Amino acid sequence: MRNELGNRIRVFRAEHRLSQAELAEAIGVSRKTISTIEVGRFVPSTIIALKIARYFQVPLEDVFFLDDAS
Amino acid sequence: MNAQTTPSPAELADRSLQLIASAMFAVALVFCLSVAEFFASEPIAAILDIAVKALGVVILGLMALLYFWKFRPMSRDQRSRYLAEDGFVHIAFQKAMAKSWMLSFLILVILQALDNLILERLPAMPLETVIQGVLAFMLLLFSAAFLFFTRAGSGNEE
Repeated sequence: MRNELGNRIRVFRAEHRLSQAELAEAIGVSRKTISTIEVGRFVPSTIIALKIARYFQVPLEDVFFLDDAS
Repeated sequence: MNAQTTPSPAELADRSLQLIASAMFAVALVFCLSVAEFFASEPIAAILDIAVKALGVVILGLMALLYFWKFRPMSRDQRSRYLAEDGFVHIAFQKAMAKSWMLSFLILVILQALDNLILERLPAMPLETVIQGVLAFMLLLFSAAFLFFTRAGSGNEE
């Protein structure tokens, strides 16, 4: 069994009516970084993950979770 | 008036890395042309020589433009902060560096081990040409790796 990093960034963005570019600008990364994290292609550093969670004012586990893939 | 949005420093850092990778590909082409010069007949070699010099000037010009237009206006703090960004393109650049180095090392070791099969069949070349060939090969591998790690399908644009 393999663990993959899942995330709810898209959901949080929709709730906050934010585009990828706006979120990227707010936390100081590029839009490509946000888009690749969202689709699970890029595993962010702890710092980027914490910045995203802090931006949405939620615990880290609300944004990122382990997705059990077989 | 419709204000033109300026790219954020993180976007700038991404674009700079992409430009550096493109420049590395162009440098690889210059080395390829230099190697081709060795094998070409005299009139073609003369044309290739001019092409190598022209490409070299273009690459240097582009790099200077990047430096003076994008990086010089940034403060030292900004520069180090955003060039150290651990974003997608930055990590892809590092991965491409590491993987291409490992692969080229492996291939060179294999070539060395099989010298009587491949290397001995090649015409004798000056050391300079051999070095240019190896550099071209390493840079092309890096460019291919970077393209692979940053390939399309990274997520939908909004």
